[in-house]
Amino acid sequence: MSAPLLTVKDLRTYFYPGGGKVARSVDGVSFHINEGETVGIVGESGCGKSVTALSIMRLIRAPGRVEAGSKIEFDGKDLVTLDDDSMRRIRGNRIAMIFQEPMSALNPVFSVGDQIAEVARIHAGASRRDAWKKAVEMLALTGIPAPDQRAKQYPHQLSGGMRQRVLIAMALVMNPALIIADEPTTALDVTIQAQILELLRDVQQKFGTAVLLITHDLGVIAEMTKRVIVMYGGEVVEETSTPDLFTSAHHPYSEGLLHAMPRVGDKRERLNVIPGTVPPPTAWPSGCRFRDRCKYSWERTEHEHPPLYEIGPGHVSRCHLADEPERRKDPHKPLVARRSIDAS
Amino acid sequence: MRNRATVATFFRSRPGMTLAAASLVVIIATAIAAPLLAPYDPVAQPDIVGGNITAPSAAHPLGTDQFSRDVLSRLLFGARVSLLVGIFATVVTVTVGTAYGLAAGYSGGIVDEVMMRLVDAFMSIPRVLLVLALVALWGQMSTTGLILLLGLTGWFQLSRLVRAEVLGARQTDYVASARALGAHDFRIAFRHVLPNVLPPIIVFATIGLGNVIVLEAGLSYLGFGIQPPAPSWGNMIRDGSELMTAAWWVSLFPGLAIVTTVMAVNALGESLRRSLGRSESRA
Repeated sequence: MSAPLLTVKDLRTYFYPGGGKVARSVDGVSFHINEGETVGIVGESGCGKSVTALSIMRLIRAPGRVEAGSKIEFDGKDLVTLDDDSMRRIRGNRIAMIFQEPMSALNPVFSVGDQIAEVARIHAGASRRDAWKKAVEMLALTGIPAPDQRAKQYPHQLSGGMRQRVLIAMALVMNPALIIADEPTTALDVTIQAQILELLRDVQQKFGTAVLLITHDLGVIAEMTKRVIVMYGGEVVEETSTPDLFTSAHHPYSEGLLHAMPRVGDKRERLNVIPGTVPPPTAWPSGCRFRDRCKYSWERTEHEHPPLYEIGPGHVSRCHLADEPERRKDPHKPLVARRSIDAS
Repeated sequence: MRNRATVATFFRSRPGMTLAAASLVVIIATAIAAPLLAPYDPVAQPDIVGGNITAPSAAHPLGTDQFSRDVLSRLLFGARVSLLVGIFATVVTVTVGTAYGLAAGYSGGIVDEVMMRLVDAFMSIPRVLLVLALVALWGQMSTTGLILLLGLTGWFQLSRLVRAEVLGARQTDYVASARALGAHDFRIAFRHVLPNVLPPIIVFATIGLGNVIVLEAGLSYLGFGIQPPAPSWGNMIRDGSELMTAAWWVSLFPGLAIVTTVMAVNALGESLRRSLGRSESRA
């Protein structure tokens, strides 16, 4: 097998808000994405999903920084140490990002066609006319009717779903190898959500683009991804194939997320919630970062930071339960290996 | 066709702005057409020996001053000087203030800090004092000198305004998005940030124009601005200031010209402020 398209290794992105505080928003995250693969990152707000995405794009600004020792390999280059000019040529060209808010991610004073054309002008050095033709072509590709008319319109003249299509068109102009989609459907109506996801899947299949999909919506994960990474407290707490997550999640946090999902035909009157909130990144708890909210926590979780235990093929979990499965009160599946693959 | 209709509706729904803009257009047009409209040479002194002051009459609709010069002709030519100085000084102010504020706000950090403390220092000196001190230093002032002097002492507040707006615009998603698409800083600053901070700059420019016209008139009144015999509204008032009771027309008409122009400019600025306000957040 060839090398993965993107390898993130021990990524640590810290923020220094002043007063001697350090927010360890992303704290030792490792994962990889193969060419043409769709990988999901799921987790609550504040778990470090978006900061991970911005770190890959190198869009972290002061007071934040990617710490030395972090490695982000893409196309055989280390994006952490790459010079600014080369990095700029990768953004929007080889890696494109789709933002959460289609309302505000477009510049209100330029027509959407202009904004799509800008990408071709920056990266392909296209002439004004060619860039405009490309913009109309991309709009057509994203299924916007009458694209040559729409291209002349301004963001406020388009609906939320249309704007998200425009953002996707902008991301696709240079046919990137990787698209990072940060909550691409969160701000949209449910019916539009489905259309946008379908569009993303279509273009992904058509162009063989790899997609890193960041979301807190497990429904989106189920629909779009083959492999999923669960993040909590700035760390990867579980990584497995998507079907596996839904049938045999190991980490209590993943379990909690699954149980918090409402289901059709559910007789429960109240939704299940994970008690408490994500602690602030300036003060992660010692030991296991999830222990305050975990129904299984015991003494060991207080001092010993759990490594990533291998649960099965391609399935890892950062939970001591892998070592002491008998502590799980209602084990919903037999637990297999307990060999640690995490050296630290 | 559609655009023309939009423009018509725009003005019809804003009678105040329309009136102000129309007055300005008339004032500027008369200034440009001064050589065609003026009945006499503005500096000619036909009765240099008698020094005859005549009240408004059919021959001299606004009278003559103590050097027997036609006040109407001087008023029309004076408009050219006053508006020219006002407009070009404002252009200088807007260019420098916008560039400075954009640079400070976009750079951020220590650069921003140093640039803004410098502005604070400049702002601690009242503008009139600063201008007078520089005039004293400079001696005789050419029109270009006057434009530069007024333009370069008026941009401090604008630069702070622009900086604040830029700080806000820099945080927007569309700037993050432009960066994520690989746009370089220069492109982001001029293509994505600047157009979005234009409305307050336009408002400031309009109101600033009124201030500069008054300031120029004041300087000329004090004898530091436009030098006689060239007419400017300010030095015309000065010519008549000692004859106020005997020959009211010498000072009154240039005074009215200043008041009308500045009021029109300010009214335009005010209605621009109202309609440009935050209404661009149509999203």
